[in-house]
Amino acid sequence: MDPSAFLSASVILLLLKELYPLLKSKPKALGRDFKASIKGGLFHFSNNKKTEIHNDNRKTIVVVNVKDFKSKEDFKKYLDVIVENGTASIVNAKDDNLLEHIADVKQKKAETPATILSAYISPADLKALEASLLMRDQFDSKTGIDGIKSDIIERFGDRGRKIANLCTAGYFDDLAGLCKETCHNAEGVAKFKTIYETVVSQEAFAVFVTRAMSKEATKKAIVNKIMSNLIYGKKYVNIHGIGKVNVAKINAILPTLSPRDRIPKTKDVEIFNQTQSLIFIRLNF
Amino acid sequence: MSSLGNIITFDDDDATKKAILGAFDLEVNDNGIIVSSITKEPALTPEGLDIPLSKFAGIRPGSRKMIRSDIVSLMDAADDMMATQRP
Repeated sequence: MDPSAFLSASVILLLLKELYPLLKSKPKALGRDFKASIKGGLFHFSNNKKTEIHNDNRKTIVVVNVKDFKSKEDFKKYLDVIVENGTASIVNAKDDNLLEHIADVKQKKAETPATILSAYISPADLKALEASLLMRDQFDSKTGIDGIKSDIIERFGDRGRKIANLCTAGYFDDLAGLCKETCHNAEGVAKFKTIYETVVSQEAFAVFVTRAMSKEATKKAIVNKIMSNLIYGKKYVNIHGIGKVNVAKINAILPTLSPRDRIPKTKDVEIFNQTQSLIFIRLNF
Repeated sequence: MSSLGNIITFDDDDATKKAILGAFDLEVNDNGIIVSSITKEPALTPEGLDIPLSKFAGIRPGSRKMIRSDIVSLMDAADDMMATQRP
C-alpha cells in the first residue's frame, strides 16, 4: 500500500485539532512532530502495544492503544475520522496478508483452472476451486495454509474436500486442459461434465495421475491407494489420467503391478474410457 | 494505494476486537456471537453467516459489511473492496 495517499490534509488537521485531545494523555512518542509523523501513516489498533509512531520498511505505522481513549465515544470519533467517510476498511492483522494475496491474484486476471472451468461447473464448485487454488498458492509459497482447507470443508462439505485434494494434486490443471480441448460444442460440454463429475465424486478411492508425477511416484501412488482402498473394503482402484504423457505412463505401469508389490493379483481391468489423451480404468482384485 | 484501498489493521485479541466492535455499536453475546448492541440481532456477513468473535476479520465502515475470518468471506470481501476502488 502506498502510504502517501492515505490521509488527506483535512483529516490530518482533524487529527491534530480534534482527535489528539481525545487520548487520555499525550504519549511522548506522539508529542514530537505529530503532524509530520502521522501524514501517510498506516493505523494499527492494539490493546497491549504502546501508542506510538514508528517506521517499518519505509512505512509510517501509527500504533494506537485502544485503552488510551478517554471513552468509547472518543474512540468512536477517532475511528470515524480515520476511516475517511467509510472508504477505508478495518481488518484483523492476521487476515491482512491473505486478503492482500487474494487481491493480487484477482488483479493479475491470469488464466487459471477456475477461469477456464467457470462456465462448466456449479457456482459452489467454482468457489471451492478458487479457494483451493489460493490454498495451493499459499502452500507453494510456503506461507502456510492453516485453516484454509478446513474453511473449504466447513463451507462445501465433503465435495469441497475432494476439490481441494484434486486441486492440490494438480489434477484441475489437467481438467482445465481437457475442458479447452473438449468444450467446443454441446456434445463436448456434456462429455466434459460427465468426466468432471466422475473425477470429483470418485476422488477418495481413485488415483489421479498428473504430469508432475514420475513413473515411480505414479506406481507408488497406485500401490498405496490399492492398500488404503482394501482397508475400506474396496476391492478395486480407479485410475485417471489426462494427456498423452499420462496415458502412456499409466499403460506402462499397469503390467508392472504384481503381488511382489504386496498387492493382490489383479483379476481384471475395466476400461471406462480410453483414448490417446484420456484414460479412466478400474483394476479389480 | 493497494487495490483494496486503505486498510486499518487491529490485533487479533478479544479486547481489541471488542473495542473495535463497540465503536460500531456491536457487542458479543453469551454464545460468543457478534450482535448489535441495540437490537441484539446477530451481525451477519453479506451472505448471511453469523460471526463468532474468534472469526471477526473486520468491517467495512462505509457499508458496515462484516468480514468473517474464512477464505470464502475474505474472497468476497476482496471483491467488494476492489469494486469500491474502481473509478
